[in-house]
Amino acid sequence: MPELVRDSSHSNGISILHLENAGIFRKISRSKQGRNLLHNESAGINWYRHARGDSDSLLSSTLWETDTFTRLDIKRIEGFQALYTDSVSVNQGLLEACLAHYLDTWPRQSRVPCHGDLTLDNVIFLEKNDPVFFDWEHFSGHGECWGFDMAYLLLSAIVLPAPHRSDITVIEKDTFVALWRQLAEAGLPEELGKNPAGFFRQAFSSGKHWLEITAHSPHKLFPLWMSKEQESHISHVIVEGIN
Amino acid sequence: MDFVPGTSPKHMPVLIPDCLEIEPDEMLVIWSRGDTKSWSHVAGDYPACTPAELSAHSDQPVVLLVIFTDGASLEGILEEISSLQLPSVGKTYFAFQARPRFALWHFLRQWKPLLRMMPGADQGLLPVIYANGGMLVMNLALQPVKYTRYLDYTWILVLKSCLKYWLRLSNALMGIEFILVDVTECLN
Repeated sequence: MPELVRDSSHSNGISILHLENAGIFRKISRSKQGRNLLHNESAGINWYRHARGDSDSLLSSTLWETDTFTRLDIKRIEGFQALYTDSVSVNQGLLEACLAHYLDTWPRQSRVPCHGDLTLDNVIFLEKNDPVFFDWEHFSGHGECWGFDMAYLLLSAIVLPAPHRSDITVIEKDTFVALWRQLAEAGLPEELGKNPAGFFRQAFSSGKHWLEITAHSPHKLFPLWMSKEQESHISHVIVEGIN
Repeated sequence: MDFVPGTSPKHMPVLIPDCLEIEPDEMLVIWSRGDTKSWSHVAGDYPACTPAELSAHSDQPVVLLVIFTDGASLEGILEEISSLQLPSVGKTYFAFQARPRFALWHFLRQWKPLLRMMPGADQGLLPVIYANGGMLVMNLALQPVKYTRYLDYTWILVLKSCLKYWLRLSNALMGIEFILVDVTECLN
C-alpha cells in the first residue's frame, strides 16, 4: 500500500507516492507544469536506459495520461544513497564513481542530453562504484554542452553541505580541485570550467526549457540562489587549483 | 487552465484511486452496502463504475474498491461481494470510512473480525491512512518503512526522521478520512 513521500515539492505540481508492495514510485500530477515535468522524466528515463545499455530492466517507467491527470510509475531501484549534505571529502569515492559513470555513459559530443538537476540526492548506488541517476524531471533531450550535468554535480557537492559559507577547508578544496581537474581533462568546456556557478545561472535564466522550470520553482536550482561571494570564491579555487 | 480546481501549485493532494494498483486497461468498480452511487465521487477523475453498470464494460478487468461505512458487518459484506460475480477482478481493496472521532478505535473494531475471517490476513496487511483530503497518505505503523538504505546514517538522523514520522502520523490520525487495506491475497 502507498505512502505519500512528496507533495508538490518546490511547487512543481507533482505528488510522489511510494507503493511498497508493487515496488514502484508513482508520480501524479493534475497541473500543466507537472505534466510537462513528467513527460521530461519519462523521456529522460528512456534515454538513460538506452545509454546505459540497461539489459536487466533496472530502469523502467509507465506513463498513463488522461485529460485531467498524468501518472508515471517508476520501478524502485534497490540501493543506498549518500547524504548530499556530507562534505565533498566524505563523498569523494562516490563522486568519483559518478564521474566514471558519466564518462562511460554520455556520448562524446559538444551538445548532449542533460539530466538537469544532478546532485547526490538524485543518485542511488547499487554498489559503491555503481551509481544510477534518477529523478529526470528536468531532462532535456536537446541538451546542454558536454559535462554540464557532471559539473553541476561536483559544484553541488561543495555548495550544498554549507550553502551560505564562502570559505572552504583545505581538504575540501584539494578534493574538489582533484575531481574538477579530472572533468576538465576529460573535455569540460573552458567557459563552464572556469566559473561554473555563473555559467549555470546564465543557462538557467535563458531558454524556454529552463524558464518554465524556474518560473514555478525559483529556488530549486541551487546556482540561482548562491551568493556572489561564494561564486567568485569557488571560481578562484578552480582557477588557482587547476593552474 | 493550469491547475485542476481544488489543487494549487503548493499542494497536489492525491485521490484514493491514485493510491491503488490500477492499470490503464482496468476499470475501477466501487461498491458499498446501500447507495453505491453516492460514493462515485471517490473515483475522482479515474474511469469508474458501479457493479450494476459493469455489464457495459464486461470484458474489462476490474479493480474492486469496497467501502465500509459505519455499522457495516464484515460477514454480510463478504457474502454480498462474493455474490456480485465480477469478471476478472485483479485487486480488491477495502476502504473503511472513518468517524470524525475515535476513528482508530472504530477501525480496530472492524479490523479484528477481518483478521479472524480471512486466512493469512495477519501477515502482510498494512493499513494505510488517507487523511486531510489526500494531503496525507501514510502507513498505519509505528515506524517508517524505509525505501532506501542510507550510508552512515547517524543515530541523531534516525531519531530525527522517527520524530518527523510520528508527528505526521499524529496529524494523519487527526484528519483521517479513510483507512485503506489491500485484501487481494486474503480473498484469493
